[in-house]
Amino acid sequence: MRGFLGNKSFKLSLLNFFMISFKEVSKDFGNKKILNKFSININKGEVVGLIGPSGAGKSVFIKMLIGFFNPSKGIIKRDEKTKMGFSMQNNSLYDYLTVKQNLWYFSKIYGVDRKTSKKRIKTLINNLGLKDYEKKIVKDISGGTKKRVDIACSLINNPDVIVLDEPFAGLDPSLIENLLNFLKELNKKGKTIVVSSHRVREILSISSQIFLVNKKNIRNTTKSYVKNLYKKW
Amino acid sequence: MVNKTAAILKKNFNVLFNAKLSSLIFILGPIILILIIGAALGDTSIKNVTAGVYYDEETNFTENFVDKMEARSFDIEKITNLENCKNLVKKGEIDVCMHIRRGNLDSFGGFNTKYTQNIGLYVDFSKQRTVWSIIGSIKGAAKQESDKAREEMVSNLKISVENVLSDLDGQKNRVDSAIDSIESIEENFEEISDNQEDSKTEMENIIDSTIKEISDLRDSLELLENSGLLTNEYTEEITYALSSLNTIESNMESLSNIVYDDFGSEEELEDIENDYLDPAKEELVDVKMSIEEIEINLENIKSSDLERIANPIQVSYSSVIGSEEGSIKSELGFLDYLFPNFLMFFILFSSMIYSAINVMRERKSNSYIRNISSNTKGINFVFSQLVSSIFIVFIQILIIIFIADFFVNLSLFSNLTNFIPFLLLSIFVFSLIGTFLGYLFNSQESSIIGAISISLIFFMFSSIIAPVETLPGIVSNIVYFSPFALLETKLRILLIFNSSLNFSLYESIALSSLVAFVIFLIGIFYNKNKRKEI
Repeated sequence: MRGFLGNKSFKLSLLNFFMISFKEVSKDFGNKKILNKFSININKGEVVGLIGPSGAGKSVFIKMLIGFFNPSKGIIKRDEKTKMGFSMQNNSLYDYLTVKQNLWYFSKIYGVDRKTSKKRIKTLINNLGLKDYEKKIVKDISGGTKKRVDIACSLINNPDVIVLDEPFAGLDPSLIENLLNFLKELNKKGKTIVVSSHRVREILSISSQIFLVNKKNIRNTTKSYVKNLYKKW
Repeated sequence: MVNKTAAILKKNFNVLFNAKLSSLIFILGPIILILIIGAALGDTSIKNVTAGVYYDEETNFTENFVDKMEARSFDIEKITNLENCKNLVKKGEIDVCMHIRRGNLDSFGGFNTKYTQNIGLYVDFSKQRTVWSIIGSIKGAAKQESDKAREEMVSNLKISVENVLSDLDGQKNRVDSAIDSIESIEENFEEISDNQEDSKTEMENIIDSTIKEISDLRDSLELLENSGLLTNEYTEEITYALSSLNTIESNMESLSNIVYDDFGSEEELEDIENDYLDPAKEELVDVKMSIEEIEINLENIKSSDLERIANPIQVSYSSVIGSEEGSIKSELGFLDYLFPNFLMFFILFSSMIYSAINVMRERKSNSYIRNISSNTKGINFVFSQLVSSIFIVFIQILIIIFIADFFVNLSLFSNLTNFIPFLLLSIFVFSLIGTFLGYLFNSQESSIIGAISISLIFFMFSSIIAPVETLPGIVSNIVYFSPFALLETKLRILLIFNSSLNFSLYESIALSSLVAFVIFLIGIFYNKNKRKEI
């Protein structure tokens, strides 16, 4: 058995089964170890919730997931054709462009053709309730609207995987509700969603799988475990 | 209050020193600047001047002068055509064109004119920092040659005057001799006849008068000898002496007639004439001729250009533009000569600082992460940053040029086919360096300080502060190919002389190598630092 599992080609074939696979991954910056030897898998079409205390390494995990950081050790397996969209804690927008100009710019940068861009921008603006803001300079709109614009930008290339880092921060309850509904809609359309947040209730309401990031480790956990842990926290 | 201020100060210094590259730049910046400036500008005498020399004929003077200029570290190039010589100044290939020609022969009387020379300098006054040093250095060398020539000319003049005086001395002896002859005539007459009292009295009067004239003539010559030669008095004396000689001649003729008509036997009178009258007449004719010759010599001395003796080698200078026939720019002022420098400084600082800030602003923006996570290649971002910086600076430059056209006499829009590509090239080169600094540093203040420091170094080695002509050998060779020195020179030539844009092979290689090297560095630092901001 040991010999069978130790077979490298078998390991790779297992990795191929999942949409994204982290196998014995570690990440450190110089002498500082951030994440230590964890293995997790993300399946196609699921919503993954990422919870953990501040400074546990959630953002580093997300950046490895998106591909900004390479692991110090281990393997991250992901189909190169998998398109990623993300919205980071700080909105990745140009403050001195209008909402529409931001969407146009990122559609070009992500290589979306003109016709598709036009159609997709219109859809995103309508779906995210940005119609009244499309000609406004990003600097002049509220934090919640900026977050929606940022999410719209993250969807501009029609990604297979959507990664959202603290998407609920700064949003009022009704906007959070709207966003949760929007994410559920996306998930119904087959998008894989990874959401990192301190808001455990929202995470539990949307996630089909939960990763707990704690003590330099990431592991699968259950909703009931998280609920108990949340009570302790 | 104090505590809060101290806390803010401490925070500011902590922010500064926690950014290692920034703190390094703060400390190393001034050290590097002062070391470079100290090493390069310690001695600001001109050293690497290239001069073209054109002369009508090769003489000892031209050879000596060229040797002297070479001893002053001038690189002398002999040029066979004056117009070519001037054109080389316009193209910036030489710093000065020297036209050596012989002084005007007519202005120097009968004296030897081989020492008098005119040196005409054709210079580019836009090289404001060096042009006066170059002129001064050439004038210094010319003065040394001039001093030597003056010594020889004064010596020759002395010899001429001494010869004149010597001639006068000889003439005095002749006059004495004539007086002796006439006195002998007197004695002989007394022996020949005592009974022809009337004729005798008349003849004695004539002889006395003649002796007196000759005596006066002698006095005049003595006075001439002892008086200042080059005054009006001498001409009056000579005139008087010549007039006296005419009277003497006339007296002697009368004497001769009286002697034949009234005295003794024919044989005796012939003896008197042969022995005394004829020699006296001959002597006096000789004296007259000599005095006339002396007069000519003295006239020559008087008419000689004595100022030229004081300064036999004269140096004049003029702008190489002024000599340009049909030039559109007749008179250029200080602002005109300064404008190309100013424009280049603006391009330098604006391109470097703006492009560095442009890159840094992009790297620090929240959207940077989204850009680099896209499938767009890094070269697209770098190229776009560069082009946008070039465009912005180019617009600024165009505004400056449009407004400057009202103030300067330069024809800014007459050479657009060369001018516009040149501006774009200059902005490109410095924007590229600024872009590199934007990717090299990790904070905005570091990149700005880096851009300003490098701009200042370029600025220091400009034609205004420390042109290549004033730098030590190795430094000057490096600085010559610095993009700023190279482009500044080209812009001056282009604007002031309205020339076409030409780069030598070495200049093209130097500029291309720099561009390639900076692009290579941008590639390295873009990839190295692109994830630092995430």
